Amino acid sequence: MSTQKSQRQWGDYLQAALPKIVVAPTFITTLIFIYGFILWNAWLSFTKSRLLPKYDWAGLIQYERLFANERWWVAAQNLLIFGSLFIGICLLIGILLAILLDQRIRAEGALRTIYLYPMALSFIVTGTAWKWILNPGLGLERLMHEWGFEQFTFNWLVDSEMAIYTVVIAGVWQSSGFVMALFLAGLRGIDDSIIKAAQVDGAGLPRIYRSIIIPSLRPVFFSAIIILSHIAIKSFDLVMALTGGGPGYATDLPATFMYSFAFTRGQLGMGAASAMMMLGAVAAIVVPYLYSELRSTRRG
Amino acid sequence: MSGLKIEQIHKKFGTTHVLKGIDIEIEQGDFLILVGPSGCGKSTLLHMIAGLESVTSGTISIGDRDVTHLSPKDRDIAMVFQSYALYPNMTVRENISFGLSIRKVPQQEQQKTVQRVAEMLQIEPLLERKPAQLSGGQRQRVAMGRALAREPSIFLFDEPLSNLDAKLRVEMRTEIKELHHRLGTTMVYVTHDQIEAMTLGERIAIMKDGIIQQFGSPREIYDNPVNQFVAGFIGSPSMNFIPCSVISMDNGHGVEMENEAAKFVLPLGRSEPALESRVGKTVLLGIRPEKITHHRASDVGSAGIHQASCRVEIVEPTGPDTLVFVKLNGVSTVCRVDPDQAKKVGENIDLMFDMNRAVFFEAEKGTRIC
Repeated sequence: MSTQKSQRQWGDYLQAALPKIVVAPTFITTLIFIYGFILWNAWLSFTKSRLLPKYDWAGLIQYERLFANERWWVAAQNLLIFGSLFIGICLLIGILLAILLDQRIRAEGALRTIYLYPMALSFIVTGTAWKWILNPGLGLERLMHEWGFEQFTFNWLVDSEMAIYTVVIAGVWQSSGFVMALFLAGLRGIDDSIIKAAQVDGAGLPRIYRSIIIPSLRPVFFSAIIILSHIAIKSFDLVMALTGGGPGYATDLPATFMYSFAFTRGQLGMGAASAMMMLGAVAAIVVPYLYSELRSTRRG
Repeated sequence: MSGLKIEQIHKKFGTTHVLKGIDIEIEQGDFLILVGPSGCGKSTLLHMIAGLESVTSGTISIGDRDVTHLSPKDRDIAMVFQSYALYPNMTVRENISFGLSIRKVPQQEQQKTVQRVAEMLQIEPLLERKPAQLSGGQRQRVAMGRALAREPSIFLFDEPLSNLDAKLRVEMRTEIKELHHRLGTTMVYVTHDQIEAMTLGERIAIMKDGIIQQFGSPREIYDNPVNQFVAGFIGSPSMNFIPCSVISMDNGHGVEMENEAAKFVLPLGRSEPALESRVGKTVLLGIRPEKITHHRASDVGSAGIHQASCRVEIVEPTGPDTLVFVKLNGVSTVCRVDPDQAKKVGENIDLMFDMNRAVFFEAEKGTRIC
């Protein structure tokens, strides 16, 4: 009987501990390979590491060098241009498509899928495809020339002033369908009779959208902006595939800057410092988001 | 002056014919109820009055003005929706004043109106809150307030109380009735609840399958239903329909009844010309539960009242009355008796049938005979 009892105790113990045992491996790997490496990276950014890591404290020297580096400021400025345009245009197109799709049109399901498909592609594929489309000797410009529009020029891809905007075009093409899906879901959640009530109150459709529907989609805006801005800050593959950071370093983003300094130019410390700057930027966006989310669930 | 006039309204959605020629006319200041089972087209009709649904054919006039093809904002209406349809991003104050600000009413006047409405509905403490922070009953009040802010020529209510709990529903019912007395504005009210229809309405239109079955005052409809559907729809518990054969008697007509306890004849105590041709045939006797009561010595011998013994099948106490179910001609029949006089299941009870208000329907079609 005592063995039975101890067996039962062992079973209870196992049952209580099982979830922890199952979660433990991922927890440990996350702890080491994400948070551990963040700390390692942070340490490296305070050293004089070049090709290989060194561990002697060197203070803020890498940050000083980073801020004195013109290329870093180009990357930061590019991120500002790319980020704001990418987020802004994606939101605009996404809302517009969602509102148009919400008018109970025929074949809505098929259209929705078409707009959503770019999301299924990797940024590498998007970047490569747009590289060919925008290449003056290969894509759009050549096509227009062959059609007889000899004066047509569209050479943003090779123009160092304009190249960053091609990244915006490709990014918007890929992500606006996803934003549309987010807003469409939000629009579907709005009670039909609210629109009817507003009609009875005398509001026209533009006014209804402006005063009632779009303001009540605020949570959707919030999620969309958070998702888009972290895509923008992390953007690496799109730039690599589309322009490779060029012409020169005209389309460098912080992510590509970090990559080239840390892994191809033997400036591990400076790469680490730029990575820390990016982490700071992401944290500045994500932390308030998490805070507000957690607070609202607690209230709800 | 006419409050609302609906003439030969038809509505088709594709091939489905939802409304099949509706005619209603009410005076200014009347309270009209559209009542019927779900799918009868009552909400569609209300939405057509509001202009939210197009008219296939026919005309709608509000206060002598043809509004058939006007948009909702030009009809001078206000509407309360079943789901309240409050604007979630606005405070209660903004919800109430939204219609006014669209109509470019001066700011000061808007605030005055909000104040007046809030006082009337006692929602002043809620003015700065958002709809999400309100309870169901409070939302209902705000929805009413939004409608009241505009002083329209007609109020439309689309099942406004169906999302409230039973107690609140009764309270709000009284309040709506009071409001109607105070404002004197024409109101159209859609409901599927026949008690709401009876208590609120001055004019009731009972609808089924896109047709108005009967249009009249609550009393008319209760006492004089035009067919079996109306008779069964209005009243709770609903009217008993007992198939029985008509016989000719010395002092008029009577119907034959049978149950486990006895076989008897219920004399009408009067002669109905319409029943003459149906002697020996089966008709449906319609008799309300409160017309079958316990034995009352004072009623013995009165004209049209007859006593018979029946076996009790089920007993349902409701408080003021007890509902006793007996079987008559194979049909379960509800009787409303005094709780003290009710018998136990399986016992026999002496019941008094008051045939003065009894009505008769065709056995198959359910149309009224007399």
